[in-house]
Amino acid sequence: MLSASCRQSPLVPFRRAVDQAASWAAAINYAHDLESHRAVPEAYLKQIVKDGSTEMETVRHTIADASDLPADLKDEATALCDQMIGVLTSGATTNSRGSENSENIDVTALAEIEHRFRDLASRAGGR
Amino acid sequence: MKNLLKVALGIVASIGGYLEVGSLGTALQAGSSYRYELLWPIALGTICIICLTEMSGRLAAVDKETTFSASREHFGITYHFWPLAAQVLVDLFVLAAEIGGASLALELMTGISMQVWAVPVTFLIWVLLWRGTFGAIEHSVALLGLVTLSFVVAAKWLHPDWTEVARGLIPHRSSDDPPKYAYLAVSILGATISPYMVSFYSSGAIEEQWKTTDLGANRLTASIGMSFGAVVGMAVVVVAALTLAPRGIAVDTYQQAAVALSQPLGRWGFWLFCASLLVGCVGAALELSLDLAYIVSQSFGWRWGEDQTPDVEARFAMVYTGALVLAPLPTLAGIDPLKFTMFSMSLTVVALPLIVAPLLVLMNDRRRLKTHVNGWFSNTAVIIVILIAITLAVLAIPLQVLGG
Repeated sequence: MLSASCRQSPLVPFRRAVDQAASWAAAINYAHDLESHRAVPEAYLKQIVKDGSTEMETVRHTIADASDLPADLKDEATALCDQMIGVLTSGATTNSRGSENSENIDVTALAEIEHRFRDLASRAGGR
Repeated sequence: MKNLLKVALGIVASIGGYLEVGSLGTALQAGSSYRYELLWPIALGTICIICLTEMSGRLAAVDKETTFSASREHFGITYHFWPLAAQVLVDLFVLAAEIGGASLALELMTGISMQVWAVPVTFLIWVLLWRGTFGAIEHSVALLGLVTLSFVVAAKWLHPDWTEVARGLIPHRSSDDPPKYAYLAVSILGATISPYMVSFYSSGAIEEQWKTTDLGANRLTASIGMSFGAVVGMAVVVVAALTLAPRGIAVDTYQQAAVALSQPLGRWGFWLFCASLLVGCVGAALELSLDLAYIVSQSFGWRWGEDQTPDVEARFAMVYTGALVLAPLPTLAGIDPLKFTMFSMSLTVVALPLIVAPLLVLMNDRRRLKTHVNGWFSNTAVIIVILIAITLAVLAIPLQVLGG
């Protein structure tokens, strides 16, 4: 089993990382939707956006550091990670009162990024 | 009437105490990633834990010995050291995961970092152990733990397809990322067949002074209680399958899972999720701290029992105090509680055969159990549990590499 683990295709962990990124986009979108209906506290939304950004940095590094991935998939994935980090950090900008405001997140852009991550994962699964 | 009350309390304790960081975390991941496909490890694990707890309760009621003190006496310290060391390590890791889970629940509720909560949570657990009695701890944990029934209410509200749910109870392979599926199955089994439940159950039976007349109550408590507990665990899978999976949320952290109850229970959902995580983790942390003190004291022949004051049993109190000094360290270091939980569950599985195997010998010792030794059915069951434990132990590490 251990030797089998060494032979595991690099696309398997890649697909998992991309799925993980899509899952974070979906979770943040859902949290945003719930927060707009006051079903979760604002502090929770801020926290999940912050955690999502941190996790996306990790996912990006994992993909960027992988040496045995097809270049096209790798470039597309890291670009999408950058886009998502951008959406999350720009959404969490400081408002006029000096506190972070996660309500500014562009949920449409986030949903689009999630869709592209899913598409990328299915293409990686097909190779 | 007294026995009926004992059974009722035992069942409530099992329901309230079933859901903790391991079972909650693994069930959320299973439901959100594989919908109902991983219900069968909960069912299989529950059958195993019913057999093990029934036996440990029977040993305590008839022989007036816990599994650890009987093992120490029967096998000698040279052999007994290994199961003791394995369970101390596993209990410490799981205790650390529970403190992480409780601290995270408070972070979700308040927005204040879990690292800030780690020490107050640990201190609260220590004070409850220092001041409380066994009965008070057991019953308060059980009653507060009933908040986890909100998952059952939510699952019913979501109207799952019961035929599909029933299909999930039959073991099968998944075509979607098989290594991850197998890793989750092993983790669920590790969370369900918790060795600490067995030693804690037998120590509790001694604390409550069970006698041979309590054997019927023991059987009912172990079987009905654990089965109801498993229903709560399965409800978590169903809720995650119906609220998180359709939205494409595959749980990777508790933060992502905190909205699992929001669709069925509205504004209450978020708070009930946090309360379930908090109560479940604090309850399990109390039991794990006590279990550490029980198994170490029983192995070295020290005086033990939660109903005595700490000045009477200084070494017993020192063990749980020492454990509680170490347990918050991973949370203070900022390690994610769910990732730490999954690692702890794999460690549990690796240690399981070492902890379970002595039971087969002890439960067939006529000097101890007289006419209450295992019959063919119980022996077959415990052999199957040991074989499952060995298989899981062999698979746990490679699966952690492949699927974790």
